[in-house]
Amino acid sequence: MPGSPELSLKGVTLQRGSFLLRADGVFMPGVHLLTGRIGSGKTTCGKVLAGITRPDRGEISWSGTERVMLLQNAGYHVTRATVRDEAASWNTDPDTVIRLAGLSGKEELDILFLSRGELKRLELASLLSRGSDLVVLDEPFNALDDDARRWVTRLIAEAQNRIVIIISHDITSLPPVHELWETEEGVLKKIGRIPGDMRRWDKSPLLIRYLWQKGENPAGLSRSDLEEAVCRIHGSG
Amino acid sequence: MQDPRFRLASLFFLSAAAWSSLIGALLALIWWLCCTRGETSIRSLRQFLLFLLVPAIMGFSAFLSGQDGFSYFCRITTILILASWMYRERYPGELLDIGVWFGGKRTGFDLGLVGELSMSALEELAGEIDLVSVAIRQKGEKLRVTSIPALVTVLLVRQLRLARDRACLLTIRGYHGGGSHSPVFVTTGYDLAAGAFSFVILVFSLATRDFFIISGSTFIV
Repeated sequence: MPGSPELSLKGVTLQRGSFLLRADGVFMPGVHLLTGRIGSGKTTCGKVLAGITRPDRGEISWSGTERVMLLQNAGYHVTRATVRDEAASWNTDPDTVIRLAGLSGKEELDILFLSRGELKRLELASLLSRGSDLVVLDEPFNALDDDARRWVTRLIAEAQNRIVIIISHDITSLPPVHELWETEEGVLKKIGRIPGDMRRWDKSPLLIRYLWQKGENPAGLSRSDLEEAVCRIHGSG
Repeated sequence: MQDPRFRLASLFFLSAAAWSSLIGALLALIWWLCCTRGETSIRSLRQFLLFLLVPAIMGFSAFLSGQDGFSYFCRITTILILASWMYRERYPGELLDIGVWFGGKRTGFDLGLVGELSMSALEELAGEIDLVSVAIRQKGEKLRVTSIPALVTVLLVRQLRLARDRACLLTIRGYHGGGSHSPVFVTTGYDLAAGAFSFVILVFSLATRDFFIISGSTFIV
């Protein structure tokens, strides 16, 4: 697709103490899930992908304009004192963002009085409304209740022609995922496209392994795909 | 230096030497260059310039009030450099080790724990400042005077919440005061020599001390 953003990494390495990150791969528009065990280098990799951390070696080629990353703790994004000012600090229309985040009526509230979930919704809505063509979301479902998780899923699914990289262990709330990536002991590996290459996912979560054991192949990794697969088991059982 | 007791003692001797006279500060800097190969926790020129900012302002203020601002600047900068080296060299649990060795399992343990929690909070704060600067860059903002109160408030509140969480954790784990800890130290000949050298510098600088007056108060400098 001409004009589509593309991020490619070639021989990228980053040393932090005894930890070594190695990454190769190409990210095209679509939703990418980056998963892996705790401490395997997901967040570090996300920071490299978002251009926050510069690697020691290797080549990163980026054909888009803006890359942003939602940090694990949404509180780190706060740079203003009120909800309205914070939404405006992302250079978006604050009223639209506040409405989108479900915080209407709290515009003038001190940002510190928002709950963790509300703050996360505000930062997610601001970040996704900004129109950046690469968005890295580090554990976007943390601190969110079920309704808010569905809201984030919808919001991500609506993002067109941009690269969205979700870093998460939690696969129960995902939007439709196009490609699956994994970090293992600091090495970024592409598992493949979803659903075609899903069987190559050696370290798949318990739910996926359970579905496979029951002879079910989910159509994808989205919440609705997994729910349908589970329903088929119960329907046939 | 591997033994934190010698490192801390050297820091104390050299800071006192630097505080006591300009010659003491110069000798402390020579010690730092010879014994540590000039190591600090400063990672960039920008950090170094920020590092110099406070002593420079204080030194300039002293100069404007008719005191020896240059001497003040040199001595405070030396002390900060030594503190920065100490910060770089430290390992997690070092203050608890020293506290228990020095003050026993009750008072020493408590002092060591307070020290460790403080250092950990400082590290957290440094990491948080890095992340806030990432947020500012991502938003395409520039750091303005008007945004500083909000940023400082957010950082402060987060530190207070962190302190509360840690206090709760200690309470849940049954902490009342004191605790069991068996520190192990590795002392090398180099530690002994560098420690002795720092003590000699202190003795020499005390012999050449002068007095410095700032804002109507008298300090030994």
